Amino acid sequence: MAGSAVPLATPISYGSAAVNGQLVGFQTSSAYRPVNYGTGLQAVPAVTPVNIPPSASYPTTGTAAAAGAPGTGRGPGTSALNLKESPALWTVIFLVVGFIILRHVHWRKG
Amino acid sequence: MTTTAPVAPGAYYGLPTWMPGLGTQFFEGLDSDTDFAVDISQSAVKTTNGLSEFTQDNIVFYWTLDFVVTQDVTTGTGQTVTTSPHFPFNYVGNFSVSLQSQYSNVQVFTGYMLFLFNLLRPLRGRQAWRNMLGANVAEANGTPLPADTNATNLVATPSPAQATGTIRFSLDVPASMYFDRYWDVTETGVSASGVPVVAQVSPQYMAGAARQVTPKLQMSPAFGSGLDTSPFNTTTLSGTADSASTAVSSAVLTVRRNGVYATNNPAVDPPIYNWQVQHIEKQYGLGGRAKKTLALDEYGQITGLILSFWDPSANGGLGDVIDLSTQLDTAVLSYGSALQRFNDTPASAQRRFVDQHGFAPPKGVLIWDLAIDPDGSGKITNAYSLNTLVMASCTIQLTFSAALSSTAYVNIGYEMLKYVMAGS
Repeated sequence: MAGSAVPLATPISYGSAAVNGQLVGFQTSSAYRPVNYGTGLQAVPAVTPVNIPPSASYPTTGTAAAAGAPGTGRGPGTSALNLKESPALWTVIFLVVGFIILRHVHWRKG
Repeated sequence: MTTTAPVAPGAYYGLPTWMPGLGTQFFEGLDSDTDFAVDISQSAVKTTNGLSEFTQDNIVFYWTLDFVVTQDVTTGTGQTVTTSPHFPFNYVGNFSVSLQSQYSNVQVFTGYMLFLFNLLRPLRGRQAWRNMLGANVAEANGTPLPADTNATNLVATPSPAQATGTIRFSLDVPASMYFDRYWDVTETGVSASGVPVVAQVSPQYMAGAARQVTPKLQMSPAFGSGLDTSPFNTTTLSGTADSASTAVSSAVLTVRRNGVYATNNPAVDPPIYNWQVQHIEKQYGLGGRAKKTLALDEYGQITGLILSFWDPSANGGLGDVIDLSTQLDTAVLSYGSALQRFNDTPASAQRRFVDQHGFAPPKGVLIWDLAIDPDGSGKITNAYSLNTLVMASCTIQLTFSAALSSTAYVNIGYEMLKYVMAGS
């Protein structure tokens, strides 16, 4: 309504106004717009169409889609010991490194 | 760089639920109190303590109070127990819901008026109404209505009086009101937009730090002095061989809530209008008069008026509803310089209500529904409400066939919109 030519009542005091010559009590709008806390619903999680990247390879394509999460990662590759294809070797390497650091840094003799 | 115009608050409200990110997400579910034990005394008004605050999240259209009353009424030797025509809804006594710094959302003397408000404006489905006790009032009143009995004020109060048993009833507590054609006007009656809109006026945003709202509930005594404010009455002990009647009642209350989820996008949330819906009950004495003029002393747009007549002197002092078909000649709702909005007999008022809603109001109740669009569509609009801010001298003139008793009164339920002043 801001900027419109709508004639409004004459406010007299907080919560009071003269409407058509009579004094009327009004509540004010702040109470109807409370300051929210917390977060509201951002958006409904939409179900997006599943796109399977063409690079993903599934040995058993008939059941892999139902068992796993297609499109979210690589399927089981054929080279588990390849540092570029699989995290398996990296896991072992970092485990060993972790033990070494524990032994020589954390438990080192002062 | 391109800029997009900001979307107005509420612009996307009402979009289908499944629209990604923009859909309106409705909910109906439990509020804070589930199976809360409510005390009912045999002889005293009991204030219900310990009710939880309403849940402080999301946006609520209305709450529902589900009562399950367990009662065991034993008629004493030589005694008579009378059931109230307002049974069982007047198990609920004074009830109010007030949100901070707002008009009282609901304020009634007994649950009966809240029941009548629900009758007038069912919150879930307009003209399809079912008795909250499971029976259809239209059937109880005889369906279809025979033409020759249409003149009587239809009786058949819901009469599920049971000496022992479980009474279930629900009362909806409206926080907002749905309109098919809502004219958003200023307090001086000038239309802000010039066109009517579909609107929910106005939903309550409950996720506020200040929204610590506890309903105030009193339960009526099972045996009271008058049948208007208690579900039963028993005669007093007189003979030495008599024994007193007893009423052992208790209730559990479950509060439910209905509305939409709040979002972080104001365009998706329902808009707030400058009017708040209010349902309040006020009492006007009719003592000893055959003619009475009542001034409607509320400021706002009145979309419905419920007149519930009661004579405490009737029925041997227990009180009873006033039989409008025999005692009320005319009821006139007028404004301005004697412009008559309705000039009714009980039969014509009832006929209109039946046409609008498909059933008749209970005995002793006259309802003027000003929100049903007279174009025959059955739409709900505020276009034909009585706006007491800009329409002078809104009065009700009642003419009875004879002077009423000195204690007779009418409780008037106002279903109305009250103006909310812009600003802080």
